[in-house]
Amino acid sequence: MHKERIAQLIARKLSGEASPEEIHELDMLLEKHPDDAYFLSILADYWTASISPAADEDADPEAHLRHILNSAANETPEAASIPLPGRNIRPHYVRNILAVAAVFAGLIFFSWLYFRTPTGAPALSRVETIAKPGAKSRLLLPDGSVVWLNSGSKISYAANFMDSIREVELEGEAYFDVAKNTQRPFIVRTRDITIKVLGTVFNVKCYPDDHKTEATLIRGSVQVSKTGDNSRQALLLHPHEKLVANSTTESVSFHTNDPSGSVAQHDMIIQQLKETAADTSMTETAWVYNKLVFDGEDFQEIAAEMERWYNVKIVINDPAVARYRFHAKFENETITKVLSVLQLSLPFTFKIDNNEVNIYK
Amino acid sequence: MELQQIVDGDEQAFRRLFHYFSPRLNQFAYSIVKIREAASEIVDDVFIKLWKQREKAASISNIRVYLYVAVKNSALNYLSSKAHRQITEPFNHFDIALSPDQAPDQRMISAELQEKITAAIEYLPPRCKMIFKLVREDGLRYKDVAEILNLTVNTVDAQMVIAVKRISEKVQAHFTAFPKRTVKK
Repeated sequence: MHKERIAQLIARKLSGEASPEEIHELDMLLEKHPDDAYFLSILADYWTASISPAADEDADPEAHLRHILNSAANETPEAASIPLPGRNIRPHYVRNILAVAAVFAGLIFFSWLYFRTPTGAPALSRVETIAKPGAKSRLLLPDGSVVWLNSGSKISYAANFMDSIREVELEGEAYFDVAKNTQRPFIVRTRDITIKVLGTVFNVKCYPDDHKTEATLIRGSVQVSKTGDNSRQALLLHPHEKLVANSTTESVSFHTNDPSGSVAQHDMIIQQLKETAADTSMTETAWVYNKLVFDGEDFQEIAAEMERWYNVKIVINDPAVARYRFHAKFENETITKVLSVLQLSLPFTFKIDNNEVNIYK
Repeated sequence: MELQQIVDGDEQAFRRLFHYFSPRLNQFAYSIVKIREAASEIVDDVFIKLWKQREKAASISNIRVYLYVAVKNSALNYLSSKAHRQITEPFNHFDIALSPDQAPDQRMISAELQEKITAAIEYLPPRCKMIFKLVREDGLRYKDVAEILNLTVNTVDAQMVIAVKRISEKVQAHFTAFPKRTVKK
């Protein structure tokens, strides 16, 4: 029953529950069923409509908060005189809350993933989503595009995103599945490069402490140009190509193994990735599938990745160890386990102290 | 972590939490009790209790789920006390109020179509409607909705399929009824 499956995938996509494979499956199904594709565009539009504020919305939220803090403070002596807070005016109620707190304790780790900025002036305000170190976030943009945000990353877009061009600003790493709309290009702006697309799937990595930006294309095509430089022609990236832009040398590099295209521009390198690799097994997008993959990077780079992944601070106290290179793949492993496995291939020791990891020869 | 800051008595962290969640929780409480003043009081009480017992908040593993469950329980208790009886299986027979959508001025869909969609959602079975509301209006994950309503994730998934299919039927019927207004532009 394709109807059933399409409805399920549409619901999952709009609610941010769909995996990249499911979104791909949905795309395939919708190509065969254009009516449903049209329905999805309508529902996506409806879905992201803002909800009207409540009729009597808080006129003065600050005063409201004061009232809450004061009430809590004033009730304290009364509660203090009775050791069990359950013996209150409404015992059921308090007991319920405590029961709930107890039930959820330790079940899932803290998943308060993101904090949107409160909507202020409607005209120029921006919507910002942050995935903190140690957490990842999935979000649905108003146009139906889906973004996976990796740990320690930030994405923002204008509150009037739907009005003109679709433009987002990214710091960190994100995987984009952009909803097709030929009339309105989708633009990703980063420190080093600007990527323009019509509807496609790609990954962008540009952490502030990295000195480069990487863009990897999975499907479709994208145009890449240097941020703030319109004088040069934009470069076209094809599926399974990775662009590396170096910010320290003020240059953009494309890596390619195509001899004719290799020096399209001196400072741009395109890397050809294995065509055979399934999306799920590519190093560049492994994080979307909750896999931590090291593909010959040195320990210094790996440590930076792990710091974001596990929300820890890693110090490598030996220059030789910092130059170790590793090939490894992990899925849902603790940091202790990951380091223990790395120890098997090259000699080093480590000490974990709360959120600080020290690595020695 | 934000919650740890609240446990430590950081008022700024509590303020952010309050500003972020209180409008949504007010809507949620209102959808159940359908009286604004009561809804607002229920939500305030939840925040007062949280701040008062913040030392214990360290044991909360998911603050979002915690707040919704606390509001849900208080709202149902409020209704139970008013009705002088226990409300069991709360959202199986018990209808809720949706939040009004904003006018579709700069949107792709017409006001007429938006009304059709809203009506389709309005007529969903109560539990299905509550699930749809929490997923769409509050942006909650299936996992969170399942915890808040005491359901399995599979039930939430299945109910969302029902909701999308019902809306789809209404939308398709709309275009069949007005064939000239279809895709061509």
